[in-house]
Amino acid sequence: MIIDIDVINELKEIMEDDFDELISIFISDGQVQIDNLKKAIDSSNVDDARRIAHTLKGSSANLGVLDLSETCKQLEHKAAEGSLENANELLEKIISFFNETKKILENNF
Amino acid sequence: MKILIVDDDKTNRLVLSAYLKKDGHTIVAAQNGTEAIEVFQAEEPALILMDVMMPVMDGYEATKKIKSMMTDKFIPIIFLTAMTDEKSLSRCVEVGGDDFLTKPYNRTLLKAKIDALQRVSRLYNTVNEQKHKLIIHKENEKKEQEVARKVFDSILNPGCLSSENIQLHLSPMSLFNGDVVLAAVKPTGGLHILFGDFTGHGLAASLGALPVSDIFYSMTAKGYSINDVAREVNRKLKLQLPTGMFLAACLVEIDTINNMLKYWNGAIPGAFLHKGDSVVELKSQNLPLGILGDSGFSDKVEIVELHDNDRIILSTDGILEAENSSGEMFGLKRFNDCLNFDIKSETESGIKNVGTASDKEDESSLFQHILDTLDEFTQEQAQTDDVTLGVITCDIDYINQLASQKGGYKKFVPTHWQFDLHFFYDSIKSIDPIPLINQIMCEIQGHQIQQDKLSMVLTELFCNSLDHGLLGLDSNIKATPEGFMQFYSDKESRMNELESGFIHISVSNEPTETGGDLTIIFEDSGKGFNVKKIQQKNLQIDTCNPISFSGRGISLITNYCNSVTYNELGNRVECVYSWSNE
Repeated sequence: MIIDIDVINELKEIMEDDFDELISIFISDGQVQIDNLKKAIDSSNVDDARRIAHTLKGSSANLGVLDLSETCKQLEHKAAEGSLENANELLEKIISFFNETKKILENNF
Repeated sequence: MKILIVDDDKTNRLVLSAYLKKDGHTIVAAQNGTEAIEVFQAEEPALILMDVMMPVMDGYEATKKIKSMMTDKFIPIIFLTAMTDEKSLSRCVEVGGDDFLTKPYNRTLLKAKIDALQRVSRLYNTVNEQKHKLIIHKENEKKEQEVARKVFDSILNPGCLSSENIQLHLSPMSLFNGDVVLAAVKPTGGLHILFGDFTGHGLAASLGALPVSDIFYSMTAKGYSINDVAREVNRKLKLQLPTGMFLAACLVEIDTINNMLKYWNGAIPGAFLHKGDSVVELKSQNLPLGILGDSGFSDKVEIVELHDNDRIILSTDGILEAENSSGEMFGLKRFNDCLNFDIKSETESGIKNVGTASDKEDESSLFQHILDTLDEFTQEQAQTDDVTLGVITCDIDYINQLASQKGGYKKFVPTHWQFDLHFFYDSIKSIDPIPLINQIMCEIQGHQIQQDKLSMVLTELFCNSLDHGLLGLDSNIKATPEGFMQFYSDKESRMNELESGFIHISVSNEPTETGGDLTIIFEDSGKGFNVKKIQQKNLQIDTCNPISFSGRGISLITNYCNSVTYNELGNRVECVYSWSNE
């Protein structure tokens, strides 16, 4: 599931006016993090890759962005083991989930 | 409640603060560990939510630092973590975390955890606050008691307790002590000691010592003897202390002029005179002070011959009743053995070590021996009563030297002086002129005039002027017990009816080399008496019938005075009394 609609609706209800800000920050920060993650993988920086994947995992989980969170988790675990094998494959999945999420969030919320 | 959120991810911070604001909390935020410490110091939050993985400084490090900065306030830290492995979680606890919350956040769980920790911190902070109040209270109380103790000690000890010939051990059960030890130099030389033990101990028991020390020091300074001091202390305590509270006391006077020891002992069991080759008990013959009324009180003192360097040993029953671990008491036998031990060692080694003032610190001294034996007996056992021991060495030269050191007792040179007092009928009803006369003479001539005999002479002269002169009573009726009673009831009624008359008293001093001759004149407005007849009668009574009820007065006056002269009318008498300051 790309997005858990219940989670996102609950947040909308609670955050009221701040919700729009949350979405735009999630999208802009997410983009920056994905760019940084790509750099880390390209330069084989395992620690950076792990930390960025961890952060992105957490923030996407909070918004109910489940597929993205799950893929970040896989990358984080690989990096924690010291390996960036399949990292590019996972990064591509992350980018495509993020773009899809972005589209849904921008159109519906 | 003010909550600090520490997370490097902005969306996380936004979501969390939205949840918490909804529950009514105030939010402050930090992006990493270093910033968290700064915000913690500036904002003083009541709870912290801490992310683990952050750039600059991670959550573990920040938690360690913040926890070490907390002095006595409990501020819970909840770790926010997406990590679920045991190692990471136990690390959270190691660095001082109080709970975890895993991502993604569950709102209900978050609220429950915060509420629970809020309760814990409230409890902790309340206990801590109370603990602080208690500590402050205790400190204040201790300070107050110490101040009170200082005031108390300075009131109790203007005397010469710290003199070299006095060894004293006081072990109070509390800061305040129910035992009282007072010592003062007599103006005429010699030493007064009061050694007492109030019923009970602590503050309540020690309060009674205030009037006692007041009386002891002022009366000793005025030259009163110990029997007078004992009587006055008894009267005052009887008046002021509640029933059931009294003072077991031994009053001792070291008379260095006549080499005598006078003592009055009321229920002090451990009072002895160590004469080097023998030990004399200064036995208690009286009830403690503060029990009997003045009329039932006996101020009779016992007298013992005193030699240079004899030692007086005084101990409260706290020593005799000191218990060892098996509940056995130290007792009089062990105490006596201590005293006798000293005798043996002296006779074996000749006349060495007769505890002179100089060997105060000598470990083999009698004082130390008693304390060591007591320590050995009781071991570490806590005592239930105050333990007080005093050993006074009667070093005659040293005691005499003490008297001359006392600045307040400077020598007055005998001088020429005279004073006249006129008492009219109404003032006679309310004033006893004798203490007044004594006081005036004290002011002029210091304490050089021994007042006991002189007071008796003055009292007799005054009684004669009042009874036979002003009131016109006939002392002949005192010859029978019934008449004796009649005499005093007549005296009372005539005194009440008195509406005129006076007594005129004049005292003058003619100095001599060692003192002076006092000329004392009493003149009254009465009709006088047949001088010759009375004088003959007195002579008769003195020789033939010494158990007479009357007439002692005039013979007493003639015995103590150099001369006694009446005028023809018999309403004026002039006596010459010699005094010496040596």
